[in-house]
Amino acid sequence: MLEAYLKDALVARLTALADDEVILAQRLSEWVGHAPILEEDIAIANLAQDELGHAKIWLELRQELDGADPDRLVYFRDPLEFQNAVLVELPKGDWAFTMVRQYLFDAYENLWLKEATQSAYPPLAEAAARILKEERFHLRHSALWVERLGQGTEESHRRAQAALETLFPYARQLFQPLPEEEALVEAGVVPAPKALEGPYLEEVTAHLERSGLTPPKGGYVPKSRQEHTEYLWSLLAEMQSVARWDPEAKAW
Amino acid sequence: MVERYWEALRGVKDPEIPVLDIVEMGMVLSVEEEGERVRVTFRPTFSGCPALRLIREEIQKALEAAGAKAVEVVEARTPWTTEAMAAEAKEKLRAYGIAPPLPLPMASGDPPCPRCGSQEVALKNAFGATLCKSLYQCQACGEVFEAFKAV
Repeated sequence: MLEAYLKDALVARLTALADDEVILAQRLSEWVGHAPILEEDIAIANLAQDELGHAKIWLELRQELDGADPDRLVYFRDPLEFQNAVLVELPKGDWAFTMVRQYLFDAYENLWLKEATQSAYPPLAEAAARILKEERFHLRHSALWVERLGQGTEESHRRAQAALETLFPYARQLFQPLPEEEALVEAGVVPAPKALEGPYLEEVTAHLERSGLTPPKGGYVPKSRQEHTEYLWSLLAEMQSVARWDPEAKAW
Repeated sequence: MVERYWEALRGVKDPEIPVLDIVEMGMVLSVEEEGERVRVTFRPTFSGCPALRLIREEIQKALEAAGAKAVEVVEARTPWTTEAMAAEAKEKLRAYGIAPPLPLPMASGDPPCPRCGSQEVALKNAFGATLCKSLYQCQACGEVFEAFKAV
């Protein structure tokens, strides 16, 4: 069982996990019907669907702790209450931008989930094990695309490198701990985000370099998940429009 | 009596792979009976599976048709794995044209073509028409086929 003093901190982490997935899923689904080839259209719809499924798992774990309704959290919270990283809210950009972002996020998520399967809080450990099975496929797919774009044509390389210049610093925000997270880490409930950053940079840098790409040095790293860009506002306006238009509907 | 409800659940097909039922998929963990109340514990396959709501409704209907007055469908957290699929279920998949999931220790490899059995296959897309499948093409007979992901 979870000690009472850890509850709020775990609610915050579960919300951050879910928000990353929900916002990324929304950006991915913007490609449906527009991806460069039919197979990718299908793949990206699959990715979006998986991320939404994962968000649902995290929010249901939260619901067990504080009773919050997952649908209300997703469709009726205001932008400043969202706890997603800036990385996932940036506009979808071109295909290289989308795939480089997906790779940077997938590599982080796989690492985090692998550690989280050892969580001292069994529901979290089980959820992580379940999600990890599906995330393996995401990482394989996006890693391959990074390689293909990085080593493809001069133009694909240029676009992938440009995407990386923008995205790489934002990826590092994923390792910023939440305000009350230390107690959770000490209790063995969640992995220490900072401890994952080193292995992440090593793994990602090696793959990027194999793909002919160079991770930029420096750049602005948002300090907390309270920071957002203006893009989140328009994303949510669209994502939440149907639910807010008819808040009493049984399903959207 | 609980046997009757297990039998009823064999009538609930996976809406995305209609040759398989949820029992042989390994999705049903337990069926408990208390008077005319029935409680089914099941685990979803893929977490974003859009068929989930439909499957819950089908379970409800099937058990009511078998005589249950009240049905409770509980979603278990235990992760589902393709290792829970019955051997006959894998054979049915193959006959239906879908390459069955490989055993987990071999999961990083490619499945043989369900039509000609050739090992010479090429992955076209890790993501297929549904979350649970990938798309392959056989290099020997040319058949394009779906393969169930091993998870």
